Amino acid sequence: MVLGELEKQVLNYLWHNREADAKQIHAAFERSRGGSLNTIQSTLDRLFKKSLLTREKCGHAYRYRPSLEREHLVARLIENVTSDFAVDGESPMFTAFASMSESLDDQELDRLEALIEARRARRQQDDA
Amino acid sequence: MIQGFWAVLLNHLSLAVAGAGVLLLMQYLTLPGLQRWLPQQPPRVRKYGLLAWAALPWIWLLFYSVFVLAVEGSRHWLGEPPAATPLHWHHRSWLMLDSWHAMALYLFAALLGVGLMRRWRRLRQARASLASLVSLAGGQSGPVRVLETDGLHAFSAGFLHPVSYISRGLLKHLTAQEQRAVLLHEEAHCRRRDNLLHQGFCFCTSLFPTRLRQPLQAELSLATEQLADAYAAARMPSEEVAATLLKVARLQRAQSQPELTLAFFQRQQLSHRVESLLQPERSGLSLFFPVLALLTLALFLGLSMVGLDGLHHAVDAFLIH
Repeated sequence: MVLGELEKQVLNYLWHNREADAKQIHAAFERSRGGSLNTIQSTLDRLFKKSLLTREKCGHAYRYRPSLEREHLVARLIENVTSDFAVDGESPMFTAFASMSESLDDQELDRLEALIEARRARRQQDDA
Repeated sequence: MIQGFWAVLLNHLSLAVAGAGVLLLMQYLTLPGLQRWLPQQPPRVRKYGLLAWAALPWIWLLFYSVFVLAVEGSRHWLGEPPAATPLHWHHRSWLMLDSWHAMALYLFAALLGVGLMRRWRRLRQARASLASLVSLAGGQSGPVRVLETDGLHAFSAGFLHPVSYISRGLLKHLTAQEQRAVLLHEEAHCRRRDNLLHQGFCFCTSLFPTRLRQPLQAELSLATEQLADAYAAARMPSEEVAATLLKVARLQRAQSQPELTLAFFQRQQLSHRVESLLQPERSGLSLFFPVLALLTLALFLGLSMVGLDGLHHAVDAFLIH
């Protein structure tokens, strides 16, 4: 997923203000970066098509809301970056992660904790 | 029909492709044995063993092509007659475009093209996502970059000049020593160019069915994670690295939104990693598989002149040459 500079600014604005239409966003950006209302409208449309915004018609204009919180978008981008083994949706790294999460219960974590504690105690004994 | 020097080269290349096909078949046949043998080996043997095994047909193709180009090319460009060869082809210097030689080349070019395209598209997507990520969550420079996000993330990205990324959310939960363990682990991935290796491995195994390829990729992943753990454990007490792994696992389990816990540091079988950190690595077999792979390749190269000629004529018995 590629995000342009203006797309990121618009997303940041909407994460902060929750909801706005093109005119409100244009008014907010007019002083800081200039640009026309059309540019803002097409940016909002692109973000909507990328499923990053939802929109609802109010009168003649659309009101936009972020469909993903910032943290979730960051997580999705990290997923795109790190799933190096993924080809056409398959991703063994995620499979391994999922199997780890499912198979590791508290009992197993406690067993590993005990192993680490035993090792620490042995090291302290050796040092003493 | 192609005639002359280029026909000689293309005929040779078609034989190299046929040889690579035979090696691929050998890989299929040896796969069950490999899958039984690998898990018992130390991470280093698993990593290099898998890489050597996956690269075998490609190394063969490269060796054969370079050898033929050096011998045939030098004589052609020096204006000397073709080299004496044990191959007794009756069509050495002409290539029919509807022969099996040409078909093998078409198939190889198509498979190579599709494989390269898929890898290139994947790399482009990853690069675009990384650029967006850095500008959204933090754009610092340097070998370690902090992402301004509350999620629990730690990973390395990039191929030739990889960089470690760690999220503010994860940093907040870790002590200075635990942060050092995570960063040393990621540093190991960067220094060893593990992302690049993974890409190469994916490419080399791209002709395998998914159900065969995935366990091998997972095995390579686990081996590289264990080696990165070992790198950190060589610079700080190994039980502290193991304790950090466990802590991140617990943090992930406690995280109410699992989609925010994509920490690569923690994405492999935890039990294997903790246990291998607490037990000294077995040694003695570290060179076994690479040496075996090289011997196989040498044997194949040695037999190739005779074997490929035989193969060539066997195929000729059924198909147009």
